[in-house]
Amino acid sequence: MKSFTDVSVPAVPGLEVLLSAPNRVTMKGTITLQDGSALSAFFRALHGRARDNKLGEVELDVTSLRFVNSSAIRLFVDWAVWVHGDGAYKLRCRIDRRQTWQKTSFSALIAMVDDAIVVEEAS
Amino acid sequence: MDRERKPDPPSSSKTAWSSHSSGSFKSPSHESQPASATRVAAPLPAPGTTVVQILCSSGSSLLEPTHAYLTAYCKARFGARASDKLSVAIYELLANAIAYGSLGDVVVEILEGTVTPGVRVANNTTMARIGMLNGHVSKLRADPGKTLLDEMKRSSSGTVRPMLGLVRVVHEVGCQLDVSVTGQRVVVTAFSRG
Amino acid sequence: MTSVASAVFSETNARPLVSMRFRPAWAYIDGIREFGRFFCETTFGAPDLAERACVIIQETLENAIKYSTKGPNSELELLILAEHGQIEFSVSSLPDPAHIQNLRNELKGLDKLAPEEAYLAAFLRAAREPENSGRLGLARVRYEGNVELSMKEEDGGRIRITALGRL
Repeated sequence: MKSFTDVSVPAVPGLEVLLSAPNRVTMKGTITLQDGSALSAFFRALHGRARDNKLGEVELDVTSLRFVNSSAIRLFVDWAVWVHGDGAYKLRCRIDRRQTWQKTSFSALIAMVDDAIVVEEAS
Repeated sequence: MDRERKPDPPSSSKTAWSSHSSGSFKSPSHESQPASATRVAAPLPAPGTTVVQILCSSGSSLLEPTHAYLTAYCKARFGARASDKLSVAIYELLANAIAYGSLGDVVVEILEGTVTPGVRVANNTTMARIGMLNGHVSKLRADPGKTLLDEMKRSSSGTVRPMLGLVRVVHEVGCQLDVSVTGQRVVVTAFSRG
Repeated sequence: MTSVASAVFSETNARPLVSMRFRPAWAYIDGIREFGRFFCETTFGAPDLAERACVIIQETLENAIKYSTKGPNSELELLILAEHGQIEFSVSSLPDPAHIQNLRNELKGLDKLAPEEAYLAAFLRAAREPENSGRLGLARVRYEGNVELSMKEEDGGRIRITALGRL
């Protein structure tokens, strides 16, 4: 069985992605991509790996993700929809409420799919 | 007030001083100034179109980010060679305006000339500084090499005086410089020369 | 291209704080956004405004560039104006004519809902239509940017999208 951390991380300018065992994804920097397909494929791969490995939860830490464009927010929407659709695990999102985009976007995600997402705020 | 010295931007080949490269202007009298600018200079290239305009205040901390942005903008629009020269002019003219301007807007513009790009900076300042500027521009016209040496000697303590900036713009990067004054408003324009 | 401020600012002849023209290329957005952030934070001493400016500039420029035609008259123009407690960001572009009606419809749709409702509605639409491109951007500008959006058609097939809000 392939590990969650074996998923290949795409090279995205301005973005640092760290995968740590057993189930954590940390994203730092900015995402302002014109073409989000590489990141979309990455999120899809993580989703598949989490489901196949029967992880109860994936932890997504975006506290150091300073700025994203709406195309990137759309990728988080897609991921939340997959999680909601499969029901295989929960997506636990660690956010910094002082960053407006995190506060507004993850509030909207919870309103949309509250069975799939858990949001916790960094202290 | 002296500015601290900034590391030199990329160097450019020295260009011989041209008698058309700067304007001097009449010292202001105590009577009200005429509405038109006072300028004594050979005509600059047609100013062309303003493609960027930014307003800031004298004393603001916008110098470094504005310089960085305008340099990147000029590189993208006009190419590396022109932007290297303009970068020096943008920095020196804007630094002077922010440091020595009195209350009121400092306006920096990037100009797309018919032949070469340029930068124009306008600010209000005191009559005393206008007098100093007038004197210095006269020296610059008369003997740019000596003026450069004089200013460099004065700056050897590590702080940069405003006139060294103008000398660099003309002598180091070979820009064509125009200075005009209307009342207490100074407008300095520098065009790169290809 | 003639710079045109919105009705609010044209009445007062307010001078733009920032005015810039550039080709409709994605590569310029990051630099303009970050300059806008510095400018607003320094000029107004307001980190909140700087954050709003980032969202407004990023999303309006993306929208303009995505639908812009190519050619000698296709330069974009960004203006930032501020007066009497209000700030305005506007972007002028030369779009594909087919896009203008879509944009008009989208703005009309946004207007019918409060900003937060419209943003959530955009999320729900994105979830329902995974194959369609995001269309979150303008709803985000309105909500996170805390501005109202309008569109004006200008000469030569150009349009100007304006985001107006309180300082």
